[in-house]
Amino acid sequence: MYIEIEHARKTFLKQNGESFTALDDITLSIDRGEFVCLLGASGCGKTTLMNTIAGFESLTSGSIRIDGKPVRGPRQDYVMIFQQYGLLPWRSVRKNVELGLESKKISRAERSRIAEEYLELVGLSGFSEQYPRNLSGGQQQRVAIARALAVKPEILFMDEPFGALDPITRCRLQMDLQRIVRNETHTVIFVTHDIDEAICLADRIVLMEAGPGRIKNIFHVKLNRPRYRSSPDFAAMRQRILREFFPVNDTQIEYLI
Amino acid sequence: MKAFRQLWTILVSVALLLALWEGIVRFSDISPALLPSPFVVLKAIAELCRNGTLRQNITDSLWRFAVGYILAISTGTLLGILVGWYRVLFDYLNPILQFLRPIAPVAWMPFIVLFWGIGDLPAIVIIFIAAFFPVLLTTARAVINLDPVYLKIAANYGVKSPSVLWKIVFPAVFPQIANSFHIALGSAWIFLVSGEMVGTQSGLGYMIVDARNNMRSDHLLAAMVLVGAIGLILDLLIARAELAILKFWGQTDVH
Repeated sequence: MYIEIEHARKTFLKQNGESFTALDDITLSIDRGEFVCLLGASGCGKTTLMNTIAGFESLTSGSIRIDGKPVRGPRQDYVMIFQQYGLLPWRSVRKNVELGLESKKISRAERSRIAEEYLELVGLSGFSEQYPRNLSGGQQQRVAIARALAVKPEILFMDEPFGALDPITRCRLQMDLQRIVRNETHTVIFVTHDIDEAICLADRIVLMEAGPGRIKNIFHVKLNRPRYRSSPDFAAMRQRILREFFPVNDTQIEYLI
Repeated sequence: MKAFRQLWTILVSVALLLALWEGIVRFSDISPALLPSPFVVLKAIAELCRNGTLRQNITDSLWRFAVGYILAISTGTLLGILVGWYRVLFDYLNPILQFLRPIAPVAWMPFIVLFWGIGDLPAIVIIFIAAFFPVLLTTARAVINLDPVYLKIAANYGVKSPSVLWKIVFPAVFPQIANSFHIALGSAWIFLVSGEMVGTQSGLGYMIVDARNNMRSDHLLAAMVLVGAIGLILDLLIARAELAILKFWGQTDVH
């Protein structure tokens, strides 16, 4: 397997001295090229789990290996996308996308060409000389996606990237993301609390629960792409996942129908 | 329309102040030699303008101010970023700074004069002290409270340790630094007068001492009016620059 998480545990010491278990004995493997959604309510440790895989936080015990090598810290080929976009407001859109290319040995002209290429991929050609402040939230997140893809990362971490967007923009970005990451072959780890979003995007949904944070269930999503919320298969999948959160007996459901 | 209203309120408030001043001069027992009327002060300003003393004094003051202020904000910013970034430095430096800060810049005056004599330097040093601390502390705090997303981005996109300071940290906190420049300008201008009252033979602060020594209260008030007016103009200019910076950084909705 490409990413191997074994018996990962993470405990924090709270202000009052009590210890808090954010992750409790998580074991999970992820294949190269897989799109995995970590789904769960807030406080279930999904973001903590992603931060430890990305090397931004360390584990209390257990191990995480990527491509056989233990994770020691953030790396340039594992890039994260944040809910608040994380664009640099003093740089133009193109300069934002070029950020990751500047530490590589790439000429200025080539950097600019790559930036334009990825801006086109996310549907923002013509915006390169604009500044982030002039862009809508959805457009800013597209810039962040272009910036991440421009460095050709092996793994893309997405931390509730569409959480701050309105539902329609959100849907559109989900559709576009499906197209974008199918063309490039990345492994994607995507944190969300939106069930539809997870079904829309994931090959596999890792359902997490809180107190202490652990894996509750794993679903393989075998729907054809592109996926539409209106399809019956989609609804069936949604039903299966919802039942994990709200166990109901089937007779009651029939009665309701 | 908005600008017109703003101008109108300024004119009315200035007129009210002048009326109050004139009223006190006319309807109280204070001798006009001690408290001259606004008109007399205006005449004094015109006279000082004509004989060239005013131009000389304002130029001297502004020059000293520029040197002290620019030195203070550049070193304050530079040190603030370093100290905020290398957090241990801040932990050691902060108690010293907090101890030195409540000491008024003029309290240094005797030492400054002992070490460097009189001339331009004492005034420049006072201005420097007045402007340096707010810039240093604000910058260091801003760096310490930097949004952690910026650091994650720097790590993710391979921006390494020294260059992260000017590529990410400095521009990210620049709006706060600009705000500290604004605050520092105000306090430094206040201390310009104190600085020039002791160590110099020219400038707006010297004008005040000189007027006192010659019992010329019209010149005294003329100098005070000019200190206020120039301070106001400098503040307006830097407020504009600050607003432009905020707009560029997308941190305001004003367009």
